[in-house]
This record gives sequence, C-alpha cells and structure tokens, in this order.
Amino acid sequence: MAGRRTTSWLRHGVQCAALAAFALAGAYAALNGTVAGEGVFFGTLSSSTTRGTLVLSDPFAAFEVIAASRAVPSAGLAASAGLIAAFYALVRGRAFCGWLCPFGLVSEIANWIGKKTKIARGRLLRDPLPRHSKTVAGGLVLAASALAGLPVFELLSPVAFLPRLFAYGVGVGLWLFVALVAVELFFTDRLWCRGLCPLGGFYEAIGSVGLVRVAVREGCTGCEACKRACLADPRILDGTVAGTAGSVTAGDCMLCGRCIEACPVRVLSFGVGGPALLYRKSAPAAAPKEAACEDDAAQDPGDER
Amino acid sequence: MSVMARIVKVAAGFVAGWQVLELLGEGGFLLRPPGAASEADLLARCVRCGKCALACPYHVVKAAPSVMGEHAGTPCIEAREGACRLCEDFPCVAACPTGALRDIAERSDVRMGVAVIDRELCIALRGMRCEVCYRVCPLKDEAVTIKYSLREGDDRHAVFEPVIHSDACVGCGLCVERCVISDPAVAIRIEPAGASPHA
Ligand code: SF4
Ligand code: SF4
Ligand code: SF4
Ligand code: SF4
Repeated sequence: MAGRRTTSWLRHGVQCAALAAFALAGAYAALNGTVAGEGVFFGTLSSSTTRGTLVLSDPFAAFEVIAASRAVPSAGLAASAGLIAAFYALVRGRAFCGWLCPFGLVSEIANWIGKKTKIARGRLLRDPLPRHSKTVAGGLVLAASALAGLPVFELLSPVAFLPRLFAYGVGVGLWLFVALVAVELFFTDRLWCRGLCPLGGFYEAIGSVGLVRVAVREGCTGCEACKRACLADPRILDGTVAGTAGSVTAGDCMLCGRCIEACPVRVLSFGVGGPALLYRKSAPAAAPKEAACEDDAAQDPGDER
Repeated sequence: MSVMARIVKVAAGFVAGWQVLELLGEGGFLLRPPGAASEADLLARCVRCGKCALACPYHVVKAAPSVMGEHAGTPCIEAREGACRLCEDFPCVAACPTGALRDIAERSDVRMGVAVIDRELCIALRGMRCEVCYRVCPLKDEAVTIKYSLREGDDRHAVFEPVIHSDACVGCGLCVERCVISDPAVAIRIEPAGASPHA
C-alpha cells in the first residue's frame, strides 16, 4: 500500500518544512544579526515576515488581541491576519491543523511511537470529548482574554511552542506541551486536537465553508476504515459511510487525507466545490455495516505507518 | 486501566498544573523596547511572536523567560547587558505586527523609562572625573547635562555632576550599560516606564 500514502508524506513534508523555516530563521538571527532588512523569512507561527513585505499573522491571536486590548486592531494586524483567515476559509479551516500545525505533527509522531512501542494503553476518557468542545474552548479563551487583558492562549499555546523555542529560545508554555505529549504518547486519544485546542476550534468555526472537501463516490462497503483512520473525529464520516452525505461537511475535517488512503475500495477523494456541488447524495449503495471498532483501545487498522 | 496509565495520568495532570502556577508567576517591571504605550497595553497586544527580538540588529531585545508569568515571551531589555541603541529606523517597532510597539517616528518619541543616578554610588558626585553616562548618552545635553559646582569644603576642585532630565531622557539604558561602577551595584539604573503609576 506504500504508493497510497503520498498525501500523508506530502503533508509531513509541509509540516516539517514550516518548522524548519522557523528554526532556520531563528538560527540565522542568532548567528548573523538582523534578519529584518535582508531577511528572507523571520518570525514565528504567531506572525512572520517573508521577503520583508509579506506579513502573515495568526487570526485567532488577532482576535485575542482585539479582546484583550478592547481596541480596533491596527491596519497591519487586520490585513496580515485577514489574509490567513481568508486563505483557510477558502480552502478549509482546519487544513491548518492537518498540514501546518507543529503540535499536530508532534502529536502524530507521539501517537505513532506510542503504538509502535506499545506503551500506549487504555484511554484517557471513556469517550473522547464532544468535537465541538474545542469551539467552546476558543470562545472561552476570547472571553478570558477580554477579562484578563491578555491574549491568554499565547501564554501557553502548545501550537506555537516549538516555533517560539526555535525562533527566540524561550519555551513559553513548556509544561502544557510536555503534559500533552505524554497524553498522546500513552493514550493516543488526540484529546487536545479533537476536543480542546482553542485554535483548532477557531479553524473549525470557519471550517465548514471551505471549497476543498472529502467526497465519496458510490461503492462504500461500510467497513469504516476511514473512520478509524480519521485524525479529526471518526464521527464526521458518519454521513458518507451511511450514504446520507456526498462529502464530509463538518468543520473539523483537517484535509489530512487519511480516510482517502485508508479506504480499501477507494471511493473517497478530495473534491473542489461548494457544498451544493458535492453534497449530491450518492446512489443508495446501502452497504452492510460491519461491526464498528469504536471500543478498541487504539485505532490501529488503517494506520500502517 | 493499568497502573502505568494511572501514573501517567496523574503525572500529566501535575505537569499541566505546574504550567498554571508558572502562569501566575511574578514578573516585576521590565524595561521594554521603544514603542510600548504602557505596560498594560503591551501585555494586551503582544502575541509573543518574537519579531521585535529577531529584528533588533544589536540583539538587545530578549523574550522574557517562561517563568515570568504573564510576561513570558514578551520583549524586554536588560540594559546592563545591552542597551537600546535607538536605531534611526526602529526595526523593532517596524517588525511588530500587532501595534504592541508603535507610534515612534523619532528618538524623542521613545518613552522606555527614565535614568536614575544613585547619589551614593556615583563617583562623579565624590569629585572624580567620570561623566561616562553623559558622554555615551545619545541625547546628551538634553537628557543629561553636567552641573558644575565647587566641592564642599574645598575651594579649588569642582564637582562635575551628571544630571538627568526626566522629560528628555527616553530610557534607552546606554548610560547603564557603560557606567564604570558595578560594585556593589551600578550607579545608574533605568526606572522602566511601566513602573510609574500613570503607565
Ligand atoms: S487542533 Fe490545535 S493543536 Fe491540533 S492540529 Fe489543530 S491547531 Fe494544531
Ligand atoms: S475526514 Fe478524512 S481528511 Fe478529514 S480529517 Fe478525517 S481523515 Fe482527515
Ligand atoms: S531601537 Fe534598535 S537597538 Fe533599540 S530595541 Fe529597537 S531595534 Fe534594538
Ligand atoms: S513584535 Fe510586537 S507582538 Fe511580537 S513579540 Fe515584539 S512586541 Fe510582541
């Protein structure tokens, strides 16, 4: 099945390249002095500058700043965060989670190690948190930011932890990062990304309008291999498996493509278009539903890495 | 559930709890780079992106360590280790994406703090010729001047006393970096703008 994992490897390449860019820019600054003037790229995930002109900022952090400062954001912040928000809204909100987020990469690696070494046992919770709880977390962070007068998530974000460490050598939010990596290593619940991450929640909130989505053709056998492979939440594939939806519409989908890779009859693929275009119900391929494996300790099949 | 899993759970809980404690840590008052409107304003707007630190050609802007509670990752300057050179074009301010550092067109717009001379420690006040702080000040004759007076009980020697003018001093800290006295303490320090009540 090696040839079928190209999306995953491409994705890991993008994740690593982003992290490497932050590390290289940080190392360059430490060794050579200023990077702003002649710099190709510098900054962190919260904000970066490319070729001295293209400024990109984290839109959720921008909302935190608006809440905390109770002020209209500067034009620069609005533009640099707006660009990112528009990009993900157009593609798919949580494509950020699947393709760029450094913690997403770390948690996938920790999950993989946990399974390979068999140190991952049991579950942290009987049932994973409801998938919308991360949007609630996002809302709570904004409320807390307004109350505290601080962009609260920026003080402990495991998402921004590695870029910050690489760029300026300070491990902001180290202990939360360590705790979450331990959880992924020993329980492989994807607890944080599925249910808790406020940034993931923000991207979920703008995630259902994107034009790229996973579409299903006729022929699904109902084996649920896609659900077991899903990085976001197995429940978002219920509709395509049951034959009631032509595509994955939930804002949670990270466009990781693991469902596509896992499907033994290859009826899933990335599609481009609005919901109307892709929502066309596939002909009732009403499939025999085999036993779901929801109660397994780890979601091993479909993950042949 | 295995014992191992239980141990890991408890440990992870503790570590995450430690994070919360660290968040509540005290930072004290820090000397900020040019452009912070007030301590509260900087804390509200700074997203800890580190771009100001990366942009500073002299590497004097550092991110506050993670044990400093709400200050973690925010920019600060340790004047004795490296003071702000008051760059013509203020790369730190230009790099800030959020406006946490802003509104600096020229040097006199900077309000990082005010230098305060320790009259016990400054050797100029004891009649020795020093005036290092005066000579290194980028705003000399405005922010710091020399006051001549006769030494007490001595009608032949003058005292060349450096005097800070708090309305003109921007708090860049070059005087602190260069002060010749370090034992028992540096004879001049910067009172950060954030420490004053109106900030
Ligand atoms: S949910 Fe949060 S931590 Fe997980 S991949 Fe998305 S942004 Fe990253
Ligand atoms: S539905 Fe598919 S592409 Fe979307 S997150 Fe799940 S596995 Fe990834
Ligand atoms: S003005 Fe220049 S020396 Fe001073 S903090 Fe900014 S970049 Fe650094
Ligand atoms: S550039 Fe601005 S937002 Fe970024 S760390 Fe410096 S002060 Fe904070």
